[in-house]
Amino acid sequence: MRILMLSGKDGLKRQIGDILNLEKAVQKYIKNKQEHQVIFLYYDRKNRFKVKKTKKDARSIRKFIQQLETKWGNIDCLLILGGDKVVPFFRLKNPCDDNDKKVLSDNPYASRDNDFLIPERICARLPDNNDAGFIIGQLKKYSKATLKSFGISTKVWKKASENVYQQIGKVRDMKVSPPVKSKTFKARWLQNKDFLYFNLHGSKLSANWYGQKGGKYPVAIGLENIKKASGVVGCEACYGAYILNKSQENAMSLKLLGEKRIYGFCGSTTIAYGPVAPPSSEADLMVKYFFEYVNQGLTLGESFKNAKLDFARKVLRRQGFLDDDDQKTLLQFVLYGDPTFRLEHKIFKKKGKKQK
Amino acid sequence: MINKKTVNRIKRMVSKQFPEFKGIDPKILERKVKPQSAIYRKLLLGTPKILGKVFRLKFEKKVTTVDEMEIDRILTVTLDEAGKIIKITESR
Repeated sequence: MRILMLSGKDGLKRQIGDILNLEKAVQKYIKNKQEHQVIFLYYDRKNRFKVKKTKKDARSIRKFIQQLETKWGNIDCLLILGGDKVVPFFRLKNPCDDNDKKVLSDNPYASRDNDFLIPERICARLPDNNDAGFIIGQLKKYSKATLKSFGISTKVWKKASENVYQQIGKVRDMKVSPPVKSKTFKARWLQNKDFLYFNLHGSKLSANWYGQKGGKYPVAIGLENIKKASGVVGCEACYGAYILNKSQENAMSLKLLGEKRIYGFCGSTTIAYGPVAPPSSEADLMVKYFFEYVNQGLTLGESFKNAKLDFARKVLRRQGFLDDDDQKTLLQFVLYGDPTFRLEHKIFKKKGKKQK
Repeated sequence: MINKKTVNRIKRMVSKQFPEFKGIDPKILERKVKPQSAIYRKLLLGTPKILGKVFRLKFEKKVTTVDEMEIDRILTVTLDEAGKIIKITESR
């Protein structure tokens, strides 16, 4: 697999200061990926492929990637190093009539043609959190098998959430908010897990995620509830993956990724949609497929890409077209974390089966 | 355009099943569904279905959470040309 690790040197320096340790960590990461062809490039510096350096602009960076492909060959996986101020998200037209002026998306980086809905390569991002150690930490994560999961849903979406959670755990173990509130939330619920599932309300301005029962919206989980959390995160909350001008201090996604054993985060950059009851659709279906593939032992990157492809196929078979919500779902879901990461025990399971 | 009788039927259903949206007049959007041939091709799915129009009835309100954050709540009911519900979605 050809993996391109891409960043912008100027932006990165502005965000994290000294980049030496990060560059060393990247070289070490590349050395450990002997089974892949991995290169690390800055789009704003000269490179050995003689692809012309470019400015910090999403379209120009995409062009840079396309030109690199003509010289290096097809890129199977793109790993973006840095947040929006280093490698900007695309600001795409919002297919839905809601309050998001644009949809923040990495989809065009994953697509070779101008149909951005369907990805052709894996694309993931390591946000910078203004801290080199934060990015380095994402490159060093390793899994410890637990075969356990955690899930929490608003009370009103319980049935819909159960349909997703059954991919990774027993539905009777799934928490519901209310009655669960941040004050009664136990940090240990998030510890020693392989999967963490959140189907809660989210806000652009708050780090908290909310439950719902009727017209009541209690805080289901806040930053203070995150202590030694572990697992692959699938989050359906509106703005769950919104990180513009955010840090670990005010974004749940970054707070979670800052944990040593949070392996990756799949979530939405903008207002997300989902069904009120099964069958799964929109955000529910996206996260369901993502978990399904991770659980089968695929890497996070493969799981995320396959989830988008399967999502589109399922919807087209079901209703014949991708409507506004479906299109927005495909654009708004992003993956933060190392795309080559996979849950180790899944590999052991596979080996075990082979031995039999 | 969708008729008033259908809109009222949907409003009654929403009031009953989603009381928090009771009394809200939906914004009605008409969408002409164009064949999505490029997507079908990219996914190797054969011939795209020929579709007409869909109608989206959007019920929207702002709510305040317990820590006084304002969040958008959007309920969308999608109907086909015959007025049959295709799906109901809610903002997360």
